[in-house]
Amino acid sequence: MATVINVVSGKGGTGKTLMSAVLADMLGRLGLNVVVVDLDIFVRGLTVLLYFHKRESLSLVSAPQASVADLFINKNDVLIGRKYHLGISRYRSFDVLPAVHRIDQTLNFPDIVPSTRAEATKVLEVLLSSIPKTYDVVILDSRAGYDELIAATHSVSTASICVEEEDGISRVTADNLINQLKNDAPTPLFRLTNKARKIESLGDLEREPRGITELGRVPFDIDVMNSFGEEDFWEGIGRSLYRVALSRAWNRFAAKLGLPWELKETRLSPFVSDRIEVHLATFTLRDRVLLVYGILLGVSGLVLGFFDRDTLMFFFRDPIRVMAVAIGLIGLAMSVFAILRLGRRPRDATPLKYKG
Amino acid sequence: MALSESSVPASIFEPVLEYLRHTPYALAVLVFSYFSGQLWTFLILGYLKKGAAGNRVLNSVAGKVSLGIAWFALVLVPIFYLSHQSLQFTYDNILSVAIPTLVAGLCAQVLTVAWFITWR
Repeated sequence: MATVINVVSGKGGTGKTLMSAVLADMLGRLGLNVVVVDLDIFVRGLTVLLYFHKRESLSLVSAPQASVADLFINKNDVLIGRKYHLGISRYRSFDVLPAVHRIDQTLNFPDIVPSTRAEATKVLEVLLSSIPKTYDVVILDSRAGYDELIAATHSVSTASICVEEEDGISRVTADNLINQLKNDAPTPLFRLTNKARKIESLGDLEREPRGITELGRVPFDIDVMNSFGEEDFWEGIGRSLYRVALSRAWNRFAAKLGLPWELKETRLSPFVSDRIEVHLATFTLRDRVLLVYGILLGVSGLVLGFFDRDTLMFFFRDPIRVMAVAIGLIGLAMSVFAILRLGRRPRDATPLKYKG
Repeated sequence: MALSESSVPASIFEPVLEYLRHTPYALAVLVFSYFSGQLWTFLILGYLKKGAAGNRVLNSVAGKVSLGIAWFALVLVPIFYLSHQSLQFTYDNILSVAIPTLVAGLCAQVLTVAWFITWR
């Protein structure tokens, strides 16, 4: 029986779809059969990814195959036991069940949304039973927030992962969602912090204390955010901090659930330490290389270029100029300190405080 | 009053000055070789020979320094020839072009890596 992982979030924009796709790709490359179900029927981010992969073909599922929306539109048929042949498509190293037939399909909200949790659960059970048994992992890419469908996805899953960001609003919405889901079903529920900026180094993430349900933090990486959906996204993801941190989070998740699939955590960095890269996560990889090695070349070129006997004598003989040079170097160091955001310490997100 | 030869005996001052003048070259070669090797390793294992990130020979301090030294040796030859109009290598002659070699070699490498990141 496949392991069903439900990916949820308290609010939108936390990176659920990106995380689901990258995780599915990494597991697919490990040799597992993975299918991602796009349950975010209206936003349909994963289906859009498939649309671009299929050279912008509007039609993603051919009749009589069914998309996710079909099961919800025809829920009366589903409830009386009708079986569906799902329109699952290959995307790189994993499969996708699109949210809709056509990428531009408009839907009527009351037709789609299940009226009760029992109804939602039944539709999901039929959906999961219609997925071929050859799959090892099923990832449910749910929509943000909480409703009957989210509650139902949690109850039919092996485990749920709540993706959140570091800001106070994201934390509070995630807390609310988690409290709600805990009341709904005893399914294991884990938290993953995405787009984390308050990180000193990837090594520190290994050592920092975590609660039982926390999978860790995945750092913000501008290359990943900028290129999602682009042609070179999958080429670059292998070299990103994002992939390593997500692999570590998955390995923790797998260990907690006793799953045997371990992802590789090694990564090549253009720098000696990933500490520099984590500080420069808002720069692209190319700009990080140019900035750091540019500073190194600039300083070393100037210092080593002027490092001869005459310069040494100058240093010994004219303390006033030495002081000027020292102040210049301090100024440069201050700029580097600010650019690299050194000395920044991680702190807990504090909730918003209201006056009055 | 500035520190000068008048306050320090020449027999001490001169060797110290020479030591300071030469030692950083050796240190600079080692440090730059390590950075250079790091960049080559990143390029080779990340872009040219994918999936070999666990390569223990290249992905070690000694491997990176060796790779960097090999690269700088390659860069040194044309710079040495331009500077001395011959290929008669002596310790002092090599030292005289060490700094331009390190800076030019690393600069060329950084531009190559930036190009790979952008276009590959």
